Amino acid sequence: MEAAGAGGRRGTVKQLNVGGKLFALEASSLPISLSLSPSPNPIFVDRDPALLSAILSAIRAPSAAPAFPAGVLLDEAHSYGLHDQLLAALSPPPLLGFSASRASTLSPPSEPFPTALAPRHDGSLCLAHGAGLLTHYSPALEHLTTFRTHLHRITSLRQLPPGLAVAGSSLSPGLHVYDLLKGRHVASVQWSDPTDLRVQKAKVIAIAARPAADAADKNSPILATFECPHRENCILVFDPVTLKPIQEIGRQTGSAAKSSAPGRVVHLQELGLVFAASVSSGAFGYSGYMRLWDIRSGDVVWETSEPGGVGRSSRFGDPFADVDVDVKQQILYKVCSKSGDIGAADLRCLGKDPWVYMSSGPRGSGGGHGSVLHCYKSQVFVSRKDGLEVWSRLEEQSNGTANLAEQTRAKENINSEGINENCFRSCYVDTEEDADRGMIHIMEGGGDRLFVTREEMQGVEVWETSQLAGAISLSLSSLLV
Amino acid sequence: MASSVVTLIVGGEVFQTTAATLSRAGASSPLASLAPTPASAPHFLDRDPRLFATLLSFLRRGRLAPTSPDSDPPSPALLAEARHFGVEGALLASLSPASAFSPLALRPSALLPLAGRVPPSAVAVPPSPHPASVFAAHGGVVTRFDAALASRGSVLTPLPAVDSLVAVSPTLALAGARDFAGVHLCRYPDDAPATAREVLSWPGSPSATVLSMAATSATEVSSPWLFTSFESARRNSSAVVTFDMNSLSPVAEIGRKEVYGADVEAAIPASRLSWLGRHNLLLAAGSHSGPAGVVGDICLWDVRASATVPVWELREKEDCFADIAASEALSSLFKVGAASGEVFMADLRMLGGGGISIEPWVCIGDGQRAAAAASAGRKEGNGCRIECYLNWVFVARGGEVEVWTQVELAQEAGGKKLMRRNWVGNGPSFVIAGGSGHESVKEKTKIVSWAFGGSRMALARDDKRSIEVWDSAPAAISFNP
Repeated sequence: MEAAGAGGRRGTVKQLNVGGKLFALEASSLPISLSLSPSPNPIFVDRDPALLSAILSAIRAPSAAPAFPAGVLLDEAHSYGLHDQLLAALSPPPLLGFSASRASTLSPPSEPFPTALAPRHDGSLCLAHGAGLLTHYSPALEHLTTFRTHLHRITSLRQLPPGLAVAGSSLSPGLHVYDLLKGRHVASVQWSDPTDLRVQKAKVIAIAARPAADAADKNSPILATFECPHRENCILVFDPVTLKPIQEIGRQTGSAAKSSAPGRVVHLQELGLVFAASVSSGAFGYSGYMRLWDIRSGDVVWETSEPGGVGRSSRFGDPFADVDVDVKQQILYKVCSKSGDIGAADLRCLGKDPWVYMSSGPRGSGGGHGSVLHCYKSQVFVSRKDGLEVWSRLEEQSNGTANLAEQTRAKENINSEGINENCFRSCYVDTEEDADRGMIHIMEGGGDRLFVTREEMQGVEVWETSQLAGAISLSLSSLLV
Repeated sequence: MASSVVTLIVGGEVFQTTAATLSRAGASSPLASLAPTPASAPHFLDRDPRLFATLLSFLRRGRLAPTSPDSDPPSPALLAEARHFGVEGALLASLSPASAFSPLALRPSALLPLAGRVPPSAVAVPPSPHPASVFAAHGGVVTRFDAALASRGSVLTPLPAVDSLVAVSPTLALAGARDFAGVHLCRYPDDAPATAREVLSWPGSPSATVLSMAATSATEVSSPWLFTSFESARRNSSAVVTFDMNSLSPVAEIGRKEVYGADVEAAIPASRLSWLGRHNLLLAAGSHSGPAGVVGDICLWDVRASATVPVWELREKEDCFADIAASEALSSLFKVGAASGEVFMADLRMLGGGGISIEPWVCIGDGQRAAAAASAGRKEGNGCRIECYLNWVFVARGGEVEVWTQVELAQEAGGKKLMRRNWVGNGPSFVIAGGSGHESVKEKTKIVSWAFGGSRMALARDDKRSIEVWDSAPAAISFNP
């Protein structure tokens, strides 16, 4: 008989007889039905001992590949109260852009061309692909369900906590809520205005549902930008429970680039602000605006538009191609369309020209045309024509004589806004072969993974930081092949 | 609880389980008779402990735990062991349960090679409560693959080529041909070589050829029925004959048609039969292609009411069906228009008494295209097939399969039921060839015959000497090398 324990922590240990084999597990982690049994003898559990021993070895040595599929083990771990421990052991280590590599490619079974991604902080992924299909992956990235929605193409998607997905389409009106487990339509929300009859059949351009890494606040509202067929648009704020509109902010006519529907919305809950940005590109280059709305009053707090804003004259003619907010650091990041430079602006002191441009870093040939920018885990991921770049912040270094010179140089460079460009370093995340697969279309972070889709490519790439060396053995047999 | 524990020593290894788990093997199994024993006096079984551990795990969980991420089919050794313990039927049925069928999760899972040089002409899968074994007719040979796709057995029928094949159970398939008389019964007993000795024929015209067959599913009636559409050798009379599958005797003759003179269109023989058990209706449809275009005749027969007058009849002239199918779950008829290639739906509850005057078909595809194609006399739907399985409708177009899903909107959003289209698999799209990196169009040849059963779809393609099996079992993540 074999005895095994779940980790080295001290506590009351319960002996279990699982299908004829003896195990010792910590009593505190066991479900009530097992831990309350008073008998000193091993409690008999009629389950498969091979699965439990695979669960325990996966928890002890997270790096080794488990003998059974992760989903089978996770199912089984529920009955021993080891689910959370096992999930943590199976999840990748914290995402570090500078040492991430492509771990796998998720390919949904039918029509595997992604149109929108919605990861959650626990690492689960909801994927919209093909003609209105939704696929749900578990936190261990196991395929759970694929079902068809009534929409023909889902272009914006977010997950809501109890297994729901909010989907919108730029082809058909309304915001639609689907139950991910049952694959059923739950509710629809439309933008309507009883005083203005022209407001109807509004399509959803972008959705923001709670910051991705935040699970604390249960009642943060959903924000969605709606656009009518005659281009009038607004940001609607919904209650996540009743799914009824609470508030309408930022209503605009949509007649000019400065008032077109924002394609990116971020809810800055701590500041009570809503960040909205719109980018449009054409034969004459990019143009767009970014705005901060006060969610209570519905007023514009700060705005800038490019080109034609009040920016530095040296940057005139280099409007931004994409912009995102790092909610934790409270910094705006943008990528310039011509030069491909990254600009950062501190949300706490936005002035007339708050941008600090980062000069170092790899400079590809493509500039910033078609770039996608995504802030995740205090890192900034920027896609370019020739690859995926990550900007990470150096940790504060303690005083040492060795880099005194650097420190003084850094001091000189500190702007009044408080962003020090010397603190940022950029690296390429991917290799040249990765970049050859195509331009990055969507990038979203979830859990400790970065999900990437490429234009006209099947499937979703999953990028993770790995602790495994992945050594390739150079034995004679492999050399011959 | 301790009193119900059964201790077993199998080939030297100790297993402990409960009597309740062992009783799931069924009353006929030797395992069910093992009484609870104290650990000091175990039962002894002289079998392989590794295979027994897998089977015990199956009894506990209700399905096989895949031992590797790319869940292999069970080995013949495991199936032989399962037969010894009397759990083979339950094991095979659990491999591909109909409850796990999800068309949007179908992936190609296996290729079943056929012996000889003749490509398959028909495939069949027995209906739901039976394990999803696959039958294929190639030339005059009918081959059966068991539900685990591990073993096969073939039988030679007197037919030169099989056109219609119906699987009644995993041990019985029926084969018929358009140019050869009689329905031939292919039996595959578990313990004896397969035989095809029995023949069913139309009592009114023993040399009549078989156009189509349909069987009632085994659950709803104690003795299954077989409906066969016969046409006499001189092609001037036809009828649907019902056989009782237990006594193998004809029960009724439905809708006998005789052709007098040159008016062929008045008596089109049924080339497509489908049984709607819940409505107690038999769908019999036939079409005739002449110089003036395609004309069709669709009848619904209530077998109990009348064998001479159909419940409902529709003569199709414009955009006649290329193929027609009936869905019990959606209680509708579906057809592919021969001219337009679009899919039409007719609700069974809306078919009027004087059905000929009212147009029952509603186009669920592109209605305008359908009307234009019908008036222009195109033949887009040539060779298309349609089939209903569970809640879905499948259409084969050339080498691709499309699926129609019913999406129901929430009550507050109108509660409408919409039919939505998707491709199964990648659909007709460019596929990046792995390794070489250049784009190439993957040519898939035309689907000659197909069948659905369990969680599977079986396809026979033109000029391919193998059967393609698609399964919707949960698929693993595709890892990159």
